Amino acid sequence: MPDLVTHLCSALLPGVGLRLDRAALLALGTALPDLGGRVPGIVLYGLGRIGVPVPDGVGLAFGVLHQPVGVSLLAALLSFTLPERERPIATVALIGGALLHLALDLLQDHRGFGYALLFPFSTARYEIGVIAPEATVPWAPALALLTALVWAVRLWRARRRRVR
Amino acid sequence: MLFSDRSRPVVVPCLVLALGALAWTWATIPTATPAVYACWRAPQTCAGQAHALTLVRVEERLGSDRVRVRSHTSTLRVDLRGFPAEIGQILTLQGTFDADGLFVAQTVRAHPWRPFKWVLGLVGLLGLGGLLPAVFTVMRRPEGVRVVLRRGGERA
Repeated sequence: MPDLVTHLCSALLPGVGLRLDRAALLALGTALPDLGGRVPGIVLYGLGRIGVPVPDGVGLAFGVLHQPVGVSLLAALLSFTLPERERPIATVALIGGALLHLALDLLQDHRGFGYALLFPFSTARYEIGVIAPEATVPWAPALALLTALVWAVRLWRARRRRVR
Repeated sequence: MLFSDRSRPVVVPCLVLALGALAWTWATIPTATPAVYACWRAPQTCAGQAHALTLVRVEERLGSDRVRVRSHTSTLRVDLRGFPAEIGQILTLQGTFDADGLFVAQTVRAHPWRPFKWVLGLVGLLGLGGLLPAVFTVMRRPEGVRVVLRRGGERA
């Protein structure tokens, strides 16, 4: 996976024209596949290393949250934490962010390992394989600074408009 | 309708059930698990098979060319064929298992940025933490109080 900073920037940079809450949801969507599909596996692995008995396959089960169908269901579920009128747009923003995440991941070369994008309809794995898994990392600090700058300008302009 | 408060008692349990069923199916059907996972558990059974080991960590040096690598699940013995790997380095390998369960690498790619990636992960989580208040404060505006102004400033 490209790093979390790159994923967040991939939503926040093009989302600079959106309302703050919509952009935040889009950015949250870009983190959702890793938060749902990877973090529990890492935590379970850590628990296993310190002697906590973790059943085989439990970490693997969370992998569905790193797939389009699973993460879309999770996005719909999360939207129920928000007010009724915001739920459809929140779901769309979260799914949009998640798909952006998966599209970026798909660019990586895992030597044919790939992602099961069509599960549960197919277990075939896909990847485009044009960048190394760590290729975005050296660019991430500059990307984060650029995103912070773009958003600082946007928020500063919005505040100035409100004061007038 | 699907996202209304009225449908919530039905939709939320259905979503949870659907996610549970999806996760259970994924974790239990053999074809969903890449064949290489089985090789991590019993490498001798994969003799002659070519595989890729992605993002494995060098744990221990076993000889001049041989190391023990770890993935999330377990460890494997690998012959790096002269690649100068260091302990802690993250590698992606392509190669074949031999009859003793040793993975003989044909190509080795190192990922030198791994520690830096963790720092970036932490920075990303902080950024994410900063975004959450924007979602939950802006979107939790009270409902039902909506004032629409017509042209000229009069209330609709």
